[in-house]
Amino acid sequence: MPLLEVNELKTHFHTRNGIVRAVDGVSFSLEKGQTVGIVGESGSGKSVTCYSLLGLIPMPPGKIEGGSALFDSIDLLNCGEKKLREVRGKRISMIFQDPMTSLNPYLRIATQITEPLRLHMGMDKNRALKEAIKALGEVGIPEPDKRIQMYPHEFSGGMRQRVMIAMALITKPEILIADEPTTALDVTVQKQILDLIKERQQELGTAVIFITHDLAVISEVCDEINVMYAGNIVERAKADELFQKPLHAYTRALLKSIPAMHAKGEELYTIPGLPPDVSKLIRGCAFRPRNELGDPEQCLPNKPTLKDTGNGHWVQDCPGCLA
Amino acid sequence: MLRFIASRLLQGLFVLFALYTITFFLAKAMPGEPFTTEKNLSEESKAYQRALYGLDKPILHQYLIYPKNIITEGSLAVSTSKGRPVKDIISQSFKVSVVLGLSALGIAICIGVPIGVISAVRRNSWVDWGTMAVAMIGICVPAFTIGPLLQIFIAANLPGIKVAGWGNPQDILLPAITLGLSTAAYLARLTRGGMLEVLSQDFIRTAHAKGIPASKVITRHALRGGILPSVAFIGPAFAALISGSFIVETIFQVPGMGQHFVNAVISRDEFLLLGVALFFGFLIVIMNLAADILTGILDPRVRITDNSPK
Repeated sequence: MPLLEVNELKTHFHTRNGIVRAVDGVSFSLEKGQTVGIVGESGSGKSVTCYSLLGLIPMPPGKIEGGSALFDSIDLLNCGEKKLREVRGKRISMIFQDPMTSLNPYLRIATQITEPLRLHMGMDKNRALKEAIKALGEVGIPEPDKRIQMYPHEFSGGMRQRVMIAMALITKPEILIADEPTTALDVTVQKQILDLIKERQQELGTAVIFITHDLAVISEVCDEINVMYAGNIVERAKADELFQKPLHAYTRALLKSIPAMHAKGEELYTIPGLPPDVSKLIRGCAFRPRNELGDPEQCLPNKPTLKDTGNGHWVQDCPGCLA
Repeated sequence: MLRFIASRLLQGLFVLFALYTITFFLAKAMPGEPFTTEKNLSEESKAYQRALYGLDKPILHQYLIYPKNIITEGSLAVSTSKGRPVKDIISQSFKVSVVLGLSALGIAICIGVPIGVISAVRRNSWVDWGTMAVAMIGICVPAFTIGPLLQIFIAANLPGIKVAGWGNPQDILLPAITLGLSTAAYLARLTRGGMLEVLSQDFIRTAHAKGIPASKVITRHALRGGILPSVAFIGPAFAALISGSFIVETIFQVPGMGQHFVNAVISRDEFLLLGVALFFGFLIVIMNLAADILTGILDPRVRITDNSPK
């Protein structure tokens, strides 16, 4: 039985401009210790998927319209705020895109990092502080006993992300959700942070859900990759398989547009058009208007479903996109 | 930190001197003189009075002698309309105004800040719209409307509460409410704005993701940043509250300092006018400094250390 099993998750936002179907029937699962990637353009629903799991969607306007997310026989989507709070930050924790704004500027690092320990583990102040200093040392912060008394603005971006990681992992959670953890960082720091996440993951046996729009990052860290488009998963495969044998036209277009795949001087490939407006009801295959590599003529007039093509490789069964 | 305070106090001195200069020449520009009264005083007795108060000297001399006396003797001269030292008049009435102002500020904070927090947390709900509408009314309705309304509906119906007067502890209540309500309304709006700003920040999401209960997210993570705009406002507002209000003092017959701001002008009592104006300026300078120090305590990013450039 998988550690986390998400089934037909639907999260919609009820706004003045209509219903935004940010996530519209997403299913995936996560095994213990595994790293699953979710990749997609901005607005494809990858972050909303994960926020929904932890009840971090602002409601209203957000609303979880349906689905289930089973984690240790708890349905995260329907278990109620109190029960969810015991899981959140203790057994499933999260790190965010921008470390510059994700830490509270008004509180010392010590206060912030010991908070989960005192809240979830019932530790007293001194023991929590000792644990926190140890945790900061483990993520590579020099002189952790001094640095812990500082404020976030006294740290660099990379160091802050290390603090975030230490804080997220301090309760030894079973799942870590990483929401574009390297997007806001310098390329040199990106690599360090990725290595750190991998290293900590191996030591603690944590499973990771890795959200990113950076294919280079995802190829490095993930065992399995979900490609999202317009609130749906269009393809899922083992990392190697996806890069070697992409089936869906969108995945193929994404891979084709990686700059490193081009010869020097060659014009970069870009996917024409824009992602569809998910506040309008999409009938049929969502990728049809931008489908260049497949055959848009053959795209389905109703919503395609995921089908297993064998070897754990799933793809939306749309003849136009598979062509 | 000490250097910061010292430099701010020095700046304050310049502010006070500018204030003195403007007030002095405006007072001199007023028509008439302190001894223009309905009784027809003889020229001789007017000349005698002028000489007594030093008003017969050249303007420039008068302009310089007043600050010199403040510095050398600590004297604020003698009120021409009351014949008593201005210092005594201020210290006597200021005691009353401080009690009233502190009560008003207490009421303003106890009402304004919680309302602001609640309406920010429940934004765009009926609670939010309702409290903000009331706050808007609180800002718009002047004290000379609220005061009499309180007198009619509360003082007239509750035994022990007098319509006006000063002497018993319970006499503070109505004038303090009247004085504090508009400040409470401002505080509610500022706190709401500050809280909305903070609650939309990423670190609030982080706090939720850590599994912290919503109430603690607000008190521990959001409130500190959320009340910063209010703190900046409270500094000068506090100075205004404790230096008295002519309207409230008149309505409730309170012997506070506010009356002197108006009466000194009417009686062309330039020494009393200068005294209260400078004293008010002094309070503003001190309270602004206090607000800045408090902001630094609340927000480590603007905290002043001696080795950082100011």
